[in-house]
Amino acid sequence: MWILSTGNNASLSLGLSIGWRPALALAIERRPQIGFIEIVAENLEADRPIPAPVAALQRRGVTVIPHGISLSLGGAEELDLNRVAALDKLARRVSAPFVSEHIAFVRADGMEAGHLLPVSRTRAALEVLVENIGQATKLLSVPLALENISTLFEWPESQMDAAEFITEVLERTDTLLLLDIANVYANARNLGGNPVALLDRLPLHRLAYVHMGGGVERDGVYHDTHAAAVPAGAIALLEELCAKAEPPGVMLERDDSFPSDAELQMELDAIAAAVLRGRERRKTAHEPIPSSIRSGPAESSDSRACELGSARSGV
Amino acid sequence: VNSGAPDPAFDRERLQLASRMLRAKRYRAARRAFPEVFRRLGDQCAREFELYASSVPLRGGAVDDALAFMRHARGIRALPLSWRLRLLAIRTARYFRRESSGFGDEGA
Repeated sequence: MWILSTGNNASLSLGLSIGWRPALALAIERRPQIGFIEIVAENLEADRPIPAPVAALQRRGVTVIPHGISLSLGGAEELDLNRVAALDKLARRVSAPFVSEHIAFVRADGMEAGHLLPVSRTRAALEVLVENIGQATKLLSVPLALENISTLFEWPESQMDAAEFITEVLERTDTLLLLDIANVYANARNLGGNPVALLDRLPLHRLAYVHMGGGVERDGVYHDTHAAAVPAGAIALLEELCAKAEPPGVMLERDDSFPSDAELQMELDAIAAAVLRGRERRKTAHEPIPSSIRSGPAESSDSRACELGSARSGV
Repeated sequence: VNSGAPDPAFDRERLQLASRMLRAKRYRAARRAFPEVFRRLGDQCAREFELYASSVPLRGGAVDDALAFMRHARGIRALPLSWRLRLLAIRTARYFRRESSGFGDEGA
């Protein structure tokens, strides 16, 4: 089991993790070292005790992060403050350092989507989002981290690109970034764009932790299902991220088709190796360049960007 | 996403794909809530759910959605009486749990 080094931000160093799901409870419990776990807030009933396996991990000192999926922060309707209060109550029950949610909406006009849907990247939608997040953070007793989502379609007439939009939201609301690398990868494949260039323009100093998940391609479209192994392209993108910044924590998401412990271990090893490779590149980049190689050919970051940027055509 | 004509500026094909994906996700969530019932309802259940989800928007969670679907499912009458009674009990309990907030202050 790899534990990432504390880096500069020791207080937030979370390590490597797997998202806690009942079906993975035993696999997670068996791991001798686990930095943190994330629990889906809506899956726990407020008036029921914390599931015993989660409580046991807490006793072992494992940090628990409640992850919300239903606040609908990007929705045009009034924010449901009861949901925010429930998320906060859970955060206090598990002594969470922060909670996380999505830059998305999940309901409109009384109808539930049952899924995270993209927010239109317009000034008007941004104002609504900022207002909703502001209301939520006022009620929350811990900081809020916001996650980028994957989407199969975009709203027409965007006034900002994804990096601009996310950055402005986080800066104006003073929130943290939960960066889902697999979502960045999925969107690059399905909608185009250069995922490495996007990482360059995100406020990585706000990075709280990273999500990694797998998916499948069907009829030329990549689906971020969390029910398959993490693709090589997403692993490469994680390395790119770690070459730019040290994530305080990295978490593997698996929601279905649960693998064996051995397969899970292989996934985590691949993630940890990418983090270490990226970290090594970051260190090397910061070292003074010896004069003997200053004039020699260097690997251009653009060439790697193109390699990852072409993810849409398949990796 | 559930119905109505989308803005023509959207990528229509992708929107339809997303819509299908949402309905499939709804079906998986409902099936996960009552795996034995869905298994018993058989293969035609997925097609029936697709029709149901195309016309009935999701308004609650997966359990409520599954219960609402089962009201329309053709195979439901073929289920053993004990199963149907259990489903009725679940539906009734959920109804009263929702409505009970109207009787006191604690449910606000």
